Amino acid sequence: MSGMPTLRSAGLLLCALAPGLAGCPSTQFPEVPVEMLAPGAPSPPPRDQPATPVLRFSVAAMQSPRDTHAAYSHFFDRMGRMLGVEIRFIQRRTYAEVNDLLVDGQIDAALVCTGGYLDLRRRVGQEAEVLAVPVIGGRSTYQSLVIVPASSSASGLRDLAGKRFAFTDELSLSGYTYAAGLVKELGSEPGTFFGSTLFTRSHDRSIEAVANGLVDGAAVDSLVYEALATKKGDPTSRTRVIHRSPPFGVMPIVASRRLPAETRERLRAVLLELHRDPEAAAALRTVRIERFTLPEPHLYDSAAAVAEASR
Amino acid sequence: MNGWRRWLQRRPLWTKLAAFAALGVILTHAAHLVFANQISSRALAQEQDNLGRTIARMVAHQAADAVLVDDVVTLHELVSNVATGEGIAYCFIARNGRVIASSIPGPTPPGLVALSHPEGRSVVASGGDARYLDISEPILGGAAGEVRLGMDLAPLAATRRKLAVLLGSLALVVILVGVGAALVVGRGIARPLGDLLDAADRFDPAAEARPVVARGGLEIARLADRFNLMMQRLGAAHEEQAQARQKAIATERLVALGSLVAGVAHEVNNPIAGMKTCLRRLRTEELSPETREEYLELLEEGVRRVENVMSRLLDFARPRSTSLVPVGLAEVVREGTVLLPSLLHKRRIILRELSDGTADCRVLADRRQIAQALLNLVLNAAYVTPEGGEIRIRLRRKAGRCGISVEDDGPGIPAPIRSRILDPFFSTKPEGEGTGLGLSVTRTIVEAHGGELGFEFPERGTVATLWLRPSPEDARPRA
Repeated sequence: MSGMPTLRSAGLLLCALAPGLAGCPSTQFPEVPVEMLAPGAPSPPPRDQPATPVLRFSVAAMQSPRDTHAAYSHFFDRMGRMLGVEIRFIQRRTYAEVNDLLVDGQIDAALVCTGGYLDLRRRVGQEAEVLAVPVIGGRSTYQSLVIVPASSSASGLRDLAGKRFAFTDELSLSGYTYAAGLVKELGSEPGTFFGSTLFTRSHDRSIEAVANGLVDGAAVDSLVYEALATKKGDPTSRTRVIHRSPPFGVMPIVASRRLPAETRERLRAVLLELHRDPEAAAALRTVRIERFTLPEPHLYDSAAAVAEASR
Repeated sequence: MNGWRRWLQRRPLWTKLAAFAALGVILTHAAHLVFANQISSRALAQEQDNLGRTIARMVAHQAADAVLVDDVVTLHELVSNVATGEGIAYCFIARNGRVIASSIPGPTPPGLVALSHPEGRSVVASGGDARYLDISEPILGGAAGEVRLGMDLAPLAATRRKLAVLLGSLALVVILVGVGAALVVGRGIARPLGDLLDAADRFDPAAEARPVVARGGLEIARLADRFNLMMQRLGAAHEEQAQARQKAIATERLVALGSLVAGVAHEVNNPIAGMKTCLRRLRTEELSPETREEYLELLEEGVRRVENVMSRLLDFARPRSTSLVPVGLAEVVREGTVLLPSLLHKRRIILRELSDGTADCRVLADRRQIAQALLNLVLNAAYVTPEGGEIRIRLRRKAGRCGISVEDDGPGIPAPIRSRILDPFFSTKPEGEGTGLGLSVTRTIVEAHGGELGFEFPERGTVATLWLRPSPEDARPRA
């Protein structure tokens, strides 16, 4: 057969090319066989609980959860090692939720904002004990700021009547209570004085909202404002402060009295000595805290007076 | 391989050209198809990975706060919404090896959760018939766990199949067009070559060459031009060669004539001597009318004899064009030997005519040229035959040939020089006695008749044979 060589060779050629023509399923990614359980199969067993003692700690959401996590992870990690415990960092969106966790015994200690502490003190009295307060910029006080966009013509809170205004949290002294008190002094109520209000759940988001022109003004924490001013892409440069409150006692670290007294004392001692440990000092610097100190008596009286007046 | 070669050798040129061109087109496009399919498949998979990674990154960004505040409801909404996206099989968020939100109903397969991603690269998770491109995107650099996104590879495989069919169809069209073009081009190249081949087969240097008209491209036209020029040069060379041959024949004829002069002189002198005697007696003696009449008749006879010899001599020497006509071999022999007896007689050499018992054969020949060829052979034989020797002329026949052999009793031709005896200007005669063209011219004459000059070397002497083609009527089988 004269045609045989042609047919045979064409067949061989097709055989050689067939895998390529068939679009074989291989990809550039490694393939791993996985046993896919059928729906309804029993859940995998839970992970073993860690053997190390656990201290459950929270931080009130003065900043966004991710910024708070980024800022305090190293701090808690170092503090846990100094205490010989695992600090489990538990976060919540609102001050109230953090307070609830502490009241319900779901956390052992927390760094709460001043307003949140005043709420705790009102709810559980001495059950929430202030262990230490941070020293920032040589002080243990901070202020509430009323800010507007840099291009705004407003020079006082009165000029923001009928405008959009951002609060931080219902329990925040600097982000809500103080500003609400100012509105009341003007003979109005926040709900009617402003054209519209919203709660951003963190001071940094309030500052961003003003900087981006989403709102016409906001009440924010001076410590967060100053911290953002040092960061890259500083949003505060696009804002302007039109009002500063008197100084209030700064956010404290409180512990539940459910925590054994010796643990609380140990925790307090570690907090007060934290700045002497180089690694812990570096971690403290990331949150702009120089050190922790014992609270002065009557540190929170002015804040409590503002809270009482606005109620 | 041998089968291939044999098969190829039997194919015409255009088939080979077309087959090779078609094979080239098929191989090129098959390779193109395979590589294009592979490249496009990889690009599709990479695109799928890029898309999935973008989605996973967005999910990780959105999920960060919810993960940190343990907002599993928000997380579940997020992953469930993402999983409704086209081509997304599943999405879940795991932290410290624990799934905190998943779009997969029921428990998320532990094997899937435990899947590792070397250097963050995606992996293909295959289980049963399903294959997923599993993408891992860390949340807050891994501090808040990871988003895992599974892109279903089934739509990708379907797209790849469609693409393969599309590319395959395209390649098939290109291959068919390519094969068609290869056939056309193959024919286009081979046809003018075939024309040239036919022209070469038809080429007769003796006839006027008909120029080949080129069909094809520039190169083919140039080839045809060169071919036509070559045919012209060949024709001219053939004409020159024919003229040279004619000159050589004429020259050799004159040489042979010189050899014959002695014999011719004898032939002429004898009657002239008789005529002179007759003339002297007619002039000086008173003869009776009867005797006078007898002498006049003798004179007349003598003149006739001289005239006859001169006529044959002139006939031999006069140049004529070749004319092939049927002629009997015996007649040719008579023609060729008519001038020889006096020459041979002088040396007392006997010329005998013999036959192998075959009937006289008729051949297609120019009798004068064949007579010259025969004369050359006999003169050569006479040269080597001792006085009193014998030369035999034998008529012979073999398959498709009739021959005239000249056998001599000479010493024979030494073996070392046998291969050179037909070379022009090769001679064993002393300087000045031969031109060296005798046998060369003889061979030229015989070959111009479509015959051949053969030699046999018996123990003694030499046998030279003029083998000629029988005339058509003689070539018919005899009963």
